[in-house]
Amino acid sequence: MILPISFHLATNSLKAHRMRTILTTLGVMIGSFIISLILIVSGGLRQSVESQFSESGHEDLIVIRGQQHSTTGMETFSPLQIPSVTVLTETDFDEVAKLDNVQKIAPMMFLYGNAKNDKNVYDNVSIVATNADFPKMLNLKMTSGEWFDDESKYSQVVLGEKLAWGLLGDKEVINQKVVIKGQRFIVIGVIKNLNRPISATGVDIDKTAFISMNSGVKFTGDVKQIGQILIQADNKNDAKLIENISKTVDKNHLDTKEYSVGRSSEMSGFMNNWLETITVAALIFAGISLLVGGIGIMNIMLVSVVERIREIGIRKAVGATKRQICEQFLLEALLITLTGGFLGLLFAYGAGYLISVQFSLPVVFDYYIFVVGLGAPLAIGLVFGFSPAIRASNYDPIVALRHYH
Amino acid sequence: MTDKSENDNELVPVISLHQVQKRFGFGDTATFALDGVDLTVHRGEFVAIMGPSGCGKTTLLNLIGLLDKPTDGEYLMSGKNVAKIGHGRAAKIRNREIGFVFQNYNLINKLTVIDNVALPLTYSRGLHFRHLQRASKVLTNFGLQNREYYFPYQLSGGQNQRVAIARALINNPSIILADEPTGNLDSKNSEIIMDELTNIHRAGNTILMVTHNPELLSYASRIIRMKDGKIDKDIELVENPAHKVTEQTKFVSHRKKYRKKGKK
Repeated sequence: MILPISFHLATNSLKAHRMRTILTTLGVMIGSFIISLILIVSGGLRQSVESQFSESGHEDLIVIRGQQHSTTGMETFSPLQIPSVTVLTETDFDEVAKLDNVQKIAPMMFLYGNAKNDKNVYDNVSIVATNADFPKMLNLKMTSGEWFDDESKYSQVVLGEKLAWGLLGDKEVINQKVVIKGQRFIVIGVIKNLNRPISATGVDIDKTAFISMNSGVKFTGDVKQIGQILIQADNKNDAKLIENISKTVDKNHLDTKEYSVGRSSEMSGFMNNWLETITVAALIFAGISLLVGGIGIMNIMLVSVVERIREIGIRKAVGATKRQICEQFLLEALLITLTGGFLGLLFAYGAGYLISVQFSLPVVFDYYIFVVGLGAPLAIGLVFGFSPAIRASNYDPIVALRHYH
Repeated sequence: MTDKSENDNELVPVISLHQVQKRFGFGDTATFALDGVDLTVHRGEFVAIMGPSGCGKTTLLNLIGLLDKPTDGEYLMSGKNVAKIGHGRAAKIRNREIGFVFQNYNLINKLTVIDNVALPLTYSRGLHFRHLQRASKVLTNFGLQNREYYFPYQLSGGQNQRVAIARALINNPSIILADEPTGNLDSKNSEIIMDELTNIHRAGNTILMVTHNPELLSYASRIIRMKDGKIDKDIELVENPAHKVTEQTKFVSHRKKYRKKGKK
């Protein structure tokens, strides 16, 4: 193989048709960019999720979540799936609370609505009705004020710090009035920023308003429509507890598996599965775009080959073997794809950096991003460059020398 | 004729064709571009091949240059049987032993002059910059060192053909095959080119030249006339006209180049 020389020849040929080379490279670059970006973002998400779950700031909790009926309860147990099915009942809650090994237990009722005061309105705010065990289990710290009391008659609300800032600014927040879903509430506490949009609770605490169950049932006709129950076990050996929970809830729901039970620490695993599925789907589409780029390469190489039939004849006349001609054209295709791949990767990291700044995700440099980001274009170059290269090498020199373009 | 037993370079003919046939088509529609050609060329000859259109001279040249294979017959190049070798080996031999000069120069327009001259070298081993060094030297011998980084379309026809000849010589080939080398040139440039070929011949190279132009025959040491795929006449010129001197050649004779160093 005379690789270094072919390289020189290949770059010469590509430089001779600058525009064409640039456009083809652009095609590959776009495909590579999309693929690399997907991998970078999903890698960042995965790392973020894992770190959020590994340093959740609280002990492992058991989460009972109501969900659509599914044959294998654990499959869709994903923290991102916002519990919209309010299957669990007050009975469930009371009976589970009575089980052995239950140290703390908190119900979660998910409501959505607008929150406003004189100056600001937020639609679609996440509102959660729960009890006083909730902040203890999650180790929530308050910047000001305190959590509400279960028995309080007053309509009190505790706000996540970001929501508090958005609604009320930096003024003194405690004792301010806020209207939530048409009801007046008084702010009695603000939760310190967690910066953990993904957690076992299913909501971004920083942007959520918390009210007591008593206040919450006013919105639901006095029925406790519980979406999720959080439990802190006394004793770390909670397998039996989980079993008992399942039995209890099953009994109340006639064995329809309308819920799932799991540990908060295991949620990241499910999250990652879910993330992986989405990533794979996105990659398939990105792969298709790269494929299109590859077809572009093949097209342009075929055109290039036909244009250079005479040149091929000359090269063969001075002693180029078929293999050397093939190598030269293949190398040209590979140069285009590798350059496109490299540039795509570069820009993907640029865009990835911007995204990670915006969404506070880490920027990942795992090896597989480079392997795929450069390897996929390389493979495309080989596959789609091969046919034109072989065709080029097979021209008879005598015929080729007579050819006029 | 074919002294294979002799190891002496000088006695083994460079080209030895025996009953070479090139047939196109089959059966009743078959045409014979070459119909039983016997030809022996020794080292140092300057052979001019003439003949009417379609007599097979270009086919003969292509065949000798291993661009084509005979359908029948023997071809020994410097004693080696090359009639039936594969494409790869033919290419390698072509690279090392044969230099082509075409009527329309056949330079690659997108490569510089120096890259064109170095082209045969790029298909053999060695570092690229050394190849460029050699090419530069040859171009200097041709007086074209100031045109190294020009492109062929920036040069005149005469200059282009000289570049092509430089390319043909760069690998010190055994045989130089010229197909109407002055066909696209005016008389002045033709003379320059023929002088160039003369010098190359004088330096000991073997040249086969196909030509239509009877005026050029005086440059050769041997004239072959072809007709209907066969050799019609084969005249050895007693006096070697390579001494024909013009202003150009006087200068050129001092140049030390094209010395054949024997078998590689």
